[in-house]
Amino acid sequence: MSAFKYEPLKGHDKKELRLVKDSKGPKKEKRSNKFFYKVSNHHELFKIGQSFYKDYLTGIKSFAVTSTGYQTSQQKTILGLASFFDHKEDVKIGIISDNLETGAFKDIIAISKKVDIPLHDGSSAIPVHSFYEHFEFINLNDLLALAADSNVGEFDGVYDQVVDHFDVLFWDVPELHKIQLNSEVYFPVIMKYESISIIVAQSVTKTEDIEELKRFFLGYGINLKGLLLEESTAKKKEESPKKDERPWWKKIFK
Amino acid sequence: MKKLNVILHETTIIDFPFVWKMILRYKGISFIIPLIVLIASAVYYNGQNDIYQRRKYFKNLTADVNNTSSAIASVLGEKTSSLTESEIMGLVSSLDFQQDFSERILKSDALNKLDLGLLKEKEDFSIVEVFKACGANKKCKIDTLRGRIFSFVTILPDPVVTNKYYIQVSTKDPFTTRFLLDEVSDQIVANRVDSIKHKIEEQIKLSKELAEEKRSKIDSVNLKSLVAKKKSLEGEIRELNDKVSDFNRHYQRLTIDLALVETKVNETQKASKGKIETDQILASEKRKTLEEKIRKYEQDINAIKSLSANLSAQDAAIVGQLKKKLSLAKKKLKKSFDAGRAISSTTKFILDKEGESRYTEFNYRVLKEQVKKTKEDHDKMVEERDKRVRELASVEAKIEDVRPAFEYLKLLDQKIVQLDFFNSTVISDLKFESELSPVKRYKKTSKSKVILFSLMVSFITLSLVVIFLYLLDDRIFDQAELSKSFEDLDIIGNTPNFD
Repeated sequence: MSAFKYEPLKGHDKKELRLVKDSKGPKKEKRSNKFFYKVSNHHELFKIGQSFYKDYLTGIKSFAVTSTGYQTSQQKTILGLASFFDHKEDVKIGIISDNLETGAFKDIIAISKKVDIPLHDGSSAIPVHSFYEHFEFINLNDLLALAADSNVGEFDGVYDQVVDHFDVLFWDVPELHKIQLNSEVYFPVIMKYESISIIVAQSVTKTEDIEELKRFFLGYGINLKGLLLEESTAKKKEESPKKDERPWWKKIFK
Repeated sequence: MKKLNVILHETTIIDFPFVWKMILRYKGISFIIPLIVLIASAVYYNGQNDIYQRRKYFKNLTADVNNTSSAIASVLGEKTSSLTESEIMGLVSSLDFQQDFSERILKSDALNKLDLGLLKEKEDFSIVEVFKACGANKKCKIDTLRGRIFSFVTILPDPVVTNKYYIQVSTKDPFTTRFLLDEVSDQIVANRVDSIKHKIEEQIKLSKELAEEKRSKIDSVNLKSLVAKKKSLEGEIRELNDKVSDFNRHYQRLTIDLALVETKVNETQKASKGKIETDQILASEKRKTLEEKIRKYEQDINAIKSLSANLSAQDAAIVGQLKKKLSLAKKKLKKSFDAGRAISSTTKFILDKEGESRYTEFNYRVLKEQVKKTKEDHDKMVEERDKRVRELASVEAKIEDVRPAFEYLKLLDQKIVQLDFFNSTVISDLKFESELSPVKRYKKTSKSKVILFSLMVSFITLSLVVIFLYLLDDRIFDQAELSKSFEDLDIIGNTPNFD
């Protein structure tokens, strides 16, 4: 259950709502989130976390994080932000990714409890990995499969119900070429992004790639929140799934 | 364009801190480029020939008033023109000098021992190889030598001592350096003596030509006869002046005399016109008779008295009688005293003047004629004197006309003598020191220059290369670059890192 609720603004129309903390809501006992303390650059985490938190206070709850093929960076960023929100507020946090079994999520998933979230008044359900009530992980492929199931209500109704289920939702955006290849499948997912952030890998990401991402998501009218800089270049280079396509003379010197 | 903006800076044009960042970013090339430049510089430096440089100092004596030759020249009135700094420094640049010197070296026995290889040439020098292209053409050999030798020789001013210079020779061989230094200094001394002598001889030649011209001008006028005529005229004028002076005095005296005589004549004529009555003349005659009687009576009385102190009675009677007569005569004279005496005097005066009148008029006429003649003679003499004075002035004018030429000729003659003397005592105005500077061994481009140059080249090349790489490199390296590249997007921060 959400720790926040919407209430009408004083002296305004009833349709104008603001998000306030629901002090009457049920308070769950949580184990402390050790991932929050594992972050080495707390200062940076607080900086970006505050930025997202401000957006959250304005009513944005669906945050997407993308990059030019750096899944691990995306996952770490999402994990960091989720930890920040978890540390800051008692909110229900959801993380949707198509890559739960690898990368930063792998270890957490391994120790998470698998539960189902009932949808469509219990006529269907989607499996989630709940990590000690801190975050709940949803496999994007499960979500896509459920949405594609013609027997289960409206096509994008699944997404709405999933989004409504959480107070804050982080989308681990798949690689751009995957989306472009199956744009009809990913379109309803993209439409659920209220804000998207792009991770830029220092010394690796090209301007042109960022421009491509920017053009793509702005084309869907999604609010481009900003850029996140990934500093650990050396590690990222090792993790980078992309082939280095730079000319030979550039590879020699850098 | 965005990338270019990152490189450019408002004040320094290039954003050097950014370039430095690029250098650190492209570490590989930032290491290799300076290394290559350093190696190339080291190879270049070590590949240079050793150059042996020596100097020989000399002083310009013409600018020094205390030196012997300038002192003699000064005494003789010769103006010694000193060489200017640029003229001294350009001594070895003169083609004539270079030609003469190259001929001298060509004739020298030491030619085969000289290393006249250019400072940058790596190969061993051989004069035979160099002259091979010339064959038996002497001019070609001289030109070849000239081109080589004078790339080694320079004249420069001493930076500390005024009016002091040095010849500097730099070759690849210490013997050649020494040899060329000595030979060049000897040649400069000989060249300077020749130059000075030539100048003096030219002056002598010109002076003689000028003297000849003046002499012919003076000869055409015959100055000697003019001088003699002048002296003669001066003597004549002196005599005429004396005569005119004498005549003038004589004329003045005559004029005074004439005036006196003229007065006499006038007065005589006036007197002769006076009237004398017969009674007056008779009375005058009677008075004269009475006066004569009285005088005779007194003479007789005195004569008698003087004969004897004691007069005889007879004598006393005679004396008494004479005294009676005397007294009577005196009474008569007394009665006719006034009229008689005046008339007597007038009559006597008139009669005298009547006698003198003709004589006085004659004298007057003579004197008047004499004055007139004297005046005419005087005027003639003055006219003659003036004529001589005019002649003298004309002669003097002619002499004055030729006098400057004459004076000039005298000076020219003196000058020629002086120049002859000076020509026989000419020495070089450049005095070389006997000692040479120590040998300085160096390379054409010094170590510090090579290092500085290599640093500059490294920096410039490195900057250009890293800028070029940066422009081609599309990757994002830091937050600043990211914010400049995407000014429309917020930079949220860095991604969190997990331990």
